[in-house]
Amino acid sequence: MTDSLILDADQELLAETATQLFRNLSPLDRLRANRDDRASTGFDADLWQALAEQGWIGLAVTEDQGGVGLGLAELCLLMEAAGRQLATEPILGTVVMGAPVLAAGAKHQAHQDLLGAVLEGTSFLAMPWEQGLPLVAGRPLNARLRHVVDGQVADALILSAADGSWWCIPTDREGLSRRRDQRMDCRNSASFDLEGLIPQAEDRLETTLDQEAHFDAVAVALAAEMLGGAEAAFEESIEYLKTRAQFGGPIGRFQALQHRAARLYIRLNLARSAVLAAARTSSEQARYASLAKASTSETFLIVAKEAVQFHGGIGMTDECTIGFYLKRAQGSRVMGGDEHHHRDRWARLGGY
Amino acid sequence: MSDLSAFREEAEAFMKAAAPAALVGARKGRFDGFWGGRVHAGSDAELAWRDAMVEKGWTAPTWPKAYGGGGLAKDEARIIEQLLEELQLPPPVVGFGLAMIGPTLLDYGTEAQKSQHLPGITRGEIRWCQGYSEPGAGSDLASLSCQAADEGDHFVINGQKVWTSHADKSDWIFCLVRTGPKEPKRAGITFLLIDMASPGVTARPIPLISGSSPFCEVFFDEVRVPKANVIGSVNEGWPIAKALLGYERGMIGEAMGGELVGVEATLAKSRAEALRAPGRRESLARWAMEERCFRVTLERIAQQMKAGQNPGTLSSIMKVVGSELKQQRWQLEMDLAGPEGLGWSGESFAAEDLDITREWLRSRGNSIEGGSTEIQLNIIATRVLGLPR
Repeated sequence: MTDSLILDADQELLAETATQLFRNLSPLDRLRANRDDRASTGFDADLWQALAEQGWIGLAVTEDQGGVGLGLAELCLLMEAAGRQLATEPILGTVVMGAPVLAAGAKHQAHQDLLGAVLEGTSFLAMPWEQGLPLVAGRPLNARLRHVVDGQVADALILSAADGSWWCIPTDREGLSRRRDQRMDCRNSASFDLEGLIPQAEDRLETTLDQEAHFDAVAVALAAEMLGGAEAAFEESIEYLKTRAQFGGPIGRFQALQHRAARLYIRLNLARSAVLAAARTSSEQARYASLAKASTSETFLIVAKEAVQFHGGIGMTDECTIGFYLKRAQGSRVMGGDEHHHRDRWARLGGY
Repeated sequence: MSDLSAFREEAEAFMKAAAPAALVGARKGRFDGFWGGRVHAGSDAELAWRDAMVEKGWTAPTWPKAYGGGGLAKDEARIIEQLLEELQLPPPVVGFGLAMIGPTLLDYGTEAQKSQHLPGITRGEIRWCQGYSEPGAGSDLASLSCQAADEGDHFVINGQKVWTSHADKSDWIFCLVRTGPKEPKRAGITFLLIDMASPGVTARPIPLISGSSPFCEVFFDEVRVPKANVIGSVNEGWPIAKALLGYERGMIGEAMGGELVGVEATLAKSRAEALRAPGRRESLARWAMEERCFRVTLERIAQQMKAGQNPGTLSSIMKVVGSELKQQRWQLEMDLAGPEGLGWSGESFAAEDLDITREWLRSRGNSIEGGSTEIQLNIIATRVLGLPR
């Protein structure tokens, strides 16, 4: 590939600003508080407002629709910064999955109003992983949508239909019920039962946005988030290896641990290359998306398991934050396809 | 038109006109070409191509013209490299002279040393080999013991080197010798150039598990070497030795990037049947994806360097990953070949399958040579991650 793999000055600034913002407003302690308070939305309203003020909710929404008109490369920088702090704000559901589709297809007033509220930070979107739903205007729809990311606060669901069309269904529609998921990985989600829900003709979004391409972009953005989480878990572990003393000195002096740490560092570098390439490539987008998701799925989980092992007994305690990365690693790995799924797809795309 | 595109046009016209027909399309890789030296004569086409490029100074594009180089800027030199690739022409001269000792001499050599050695390298007249490892000094290179005794205006060398690639075909050897005490071990090492034709030098090839190889052992028995052949100062050769290892690692990394391209597509086609066996398809995909990550990383390093950023110790990472990718590639080839990969020689196995066997065996050395994987991991752990020694 010949596309640029290094950040330009604007992207450096975005990455730096986002990293600072999440570091300041999203300490990992928050995860415990959110988990223990089941009545909460599961995320921080002030942080969400800060994101809205930066214009980042509309990061990938075109300027004529009220966004800032940037692309996947910038989305990935935002996701990586959020991933470092295991942030729980509905960025994936609203910013990555929902807003670009809604913006592309919002032609009539109700959708325009919803988009406006989303960009202001007062409404939220979610998009289930299930694809190819049999959506037809006026025909009752029965479906179970499982563990829809950021579904607990979604005002509307963005659905991909079997005929390639996109739909936007308000979550207060008759025939739709929602149950909040209590997950181990502190990611917010909800499961929906659609029983006799009647899609209206005006629910249909007027866009020909390619479904596979959009799910690929989502996978790449999620991969960037995972990369951020893996990097943070790794850095925390290296600090621990330097400070934890046993046998009269820091345990990081032992070669058995040094080589494992070096191996993780190598993996992280390769995963970073995969994410950069997938976010920026102008060719083989589908293959690069699979490369990024496979690479980060494998890497984040291995890094997180090793991170717990490096921390020893303290790594098993709820008091230590390192375990949150392990939970998130598995949680993100199984969404949007794990490394086995994407290797299979890579081979298929390669004609074997 | 920018100066660069003008240069490109001019260079392309020259290379197209100068390249012998027999060599157009004959490119095998960046380091596959005319090795030169007193022993290896070269074909008529190789010599004609060499002569044409020497005339321009383009066998060593960035070296000063005074030493037979082209005096080109880096981006101009890159154009020469790209044109060779595009026109599928072999490099006019290859070898450790151009890749390793030449850059070292440019950085550390005296005027007299540069004038004596560099022109012969650019013309491919003198072939060089690298005298580093010894039977007792592998990963712990600084513990080397090949002795250089001070005899006034010259040294007398006694000792042995090992893993010296192409020593039996080389004219000169750049060597690390011990001129000082054993401890501290890095303080008594001298970087010395030795004419392989000197009385008392013997080179002997080493058969490997994969059969015959370019590797040799070199023996020095009372070999007299003028002190004028010391690079830098006596007992201060270690930093020079390490700088040269940097060029070497760069060369190995670059060489690895290219040769893995296309392997996936070729296997997917030629081994379609074997790929249906359980697990094989995912193995190939897994390898190809890792290889793509590696290639993107190489590209990322190149872009960082071009943008003036420092890619840091990524060369250590690339050595580890590149050598393992090569090994996994041959393991994959062997697994897909099945029993056809078990041949050693003779008519009952296909020639290409016999190659796979040898390459598979040979590839085990990839993670040992040029700084073993374990040494690279040490470097990453201590120098990059800052873990305590």
